[in-house]
Amino acid sequence: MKLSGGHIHALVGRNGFGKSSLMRVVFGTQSAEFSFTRYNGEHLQHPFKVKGLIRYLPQFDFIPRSIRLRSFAESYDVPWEKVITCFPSFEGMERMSVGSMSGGQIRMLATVVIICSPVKFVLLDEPFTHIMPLHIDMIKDLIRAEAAGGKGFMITDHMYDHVLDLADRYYYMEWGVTREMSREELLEKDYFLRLR
Amino acid sequence: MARIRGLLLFYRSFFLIPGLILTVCGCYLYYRNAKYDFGVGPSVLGLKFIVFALAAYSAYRSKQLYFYYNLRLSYIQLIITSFILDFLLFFAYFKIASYFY
Repeated sequence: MKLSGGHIHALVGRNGFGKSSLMRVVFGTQSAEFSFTRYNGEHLQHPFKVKGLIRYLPQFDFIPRSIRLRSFAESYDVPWEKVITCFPSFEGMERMSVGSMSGGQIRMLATVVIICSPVKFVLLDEPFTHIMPLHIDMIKDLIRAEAAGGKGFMITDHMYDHVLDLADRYYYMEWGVTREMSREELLEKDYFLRLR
Repeated sequence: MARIRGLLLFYRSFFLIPGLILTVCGCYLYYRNAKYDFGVGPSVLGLKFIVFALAAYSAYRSKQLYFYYNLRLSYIQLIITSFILDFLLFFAYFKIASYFY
C-alpha cells in the first residue's frame, strides 16, 4: 500500500478482513507478522513517533473524559479558532470537559481535530459513523480542503457512498490482502452490490 | 509542552487515585507502627507494586491510549513516567510521615 500527500485513499472491505488492523500497523501501534513501513526512503519502526508525520482516528471514542475541549484541540496543535471555523456549533464550549458532551459531539470533535492536525498523513477509521448527515457533508468538505493543501488521507468506512465520493485512490482488502483497484473494478466486488 | 501535559494526564487518569489511597493508608500504618517496629514496610511496598501493575494493565487495555499515541507518546514512555511520579509521591509522603512520629 502506498500513501501519497494530497490524495484521499479509500480502504474498503468486509468486517473482519483486517482494515483497522492494517491502519494500526501503518500507524505503528500494532505489530504484524510481515510489515515494512517506509517514508521517503527511510524505514520507520513506529511512524506515530515521528513528529508531524501521522495521526490516527480510531473507530472508538479515545479522548480522556477530564480534558477540556480547547485543551484537546491545542494539544494536537489545532487552534481552537480553526475548530470553530470548521464546526461553529462548538462556539462557547471551549471550557467544557469532554465528559459533559454527547457521544456524537465527542466523535465530531475528535474527527475535526484529527483532520485539521498539522501532519502529513491522517488515517480515519470510520469517520462518518455516529455523525449526522449534515455534519458528514461538512467533514467531507474539510477532508477535501485539507487534501488540497497537500495532506494525505486514508479512509475506511462502511458508508461507502461517502468514501467513494471522496476518494481518488482505491484499495480493497480481502482476508488480510490489500489490492489497489480502479473504481470500476471495485464496484464489481459483491461488497458493493447495492451500488451496481 | 503538549506531550508533558499528556504524560501528566495519563498519570492522573490511571494512577493518581489508587496511588494516593494506598499512600495515605501506608503512611497511616507507618505512623502507627514505625515507633515500635516497621514490619509492615515490605508488605506496603509489595502492595504498592501490585496496585501499580494492575493500574498499568488497566491502562494498557484502555482505548484512551490512542490519545497519547497521537501525541507521539508510547506505552513504555507513559508507564516509566508514571512509575517515577507514583513512587516519588509515595516516598515523599513517607518521608513527611516520618517527621511526625
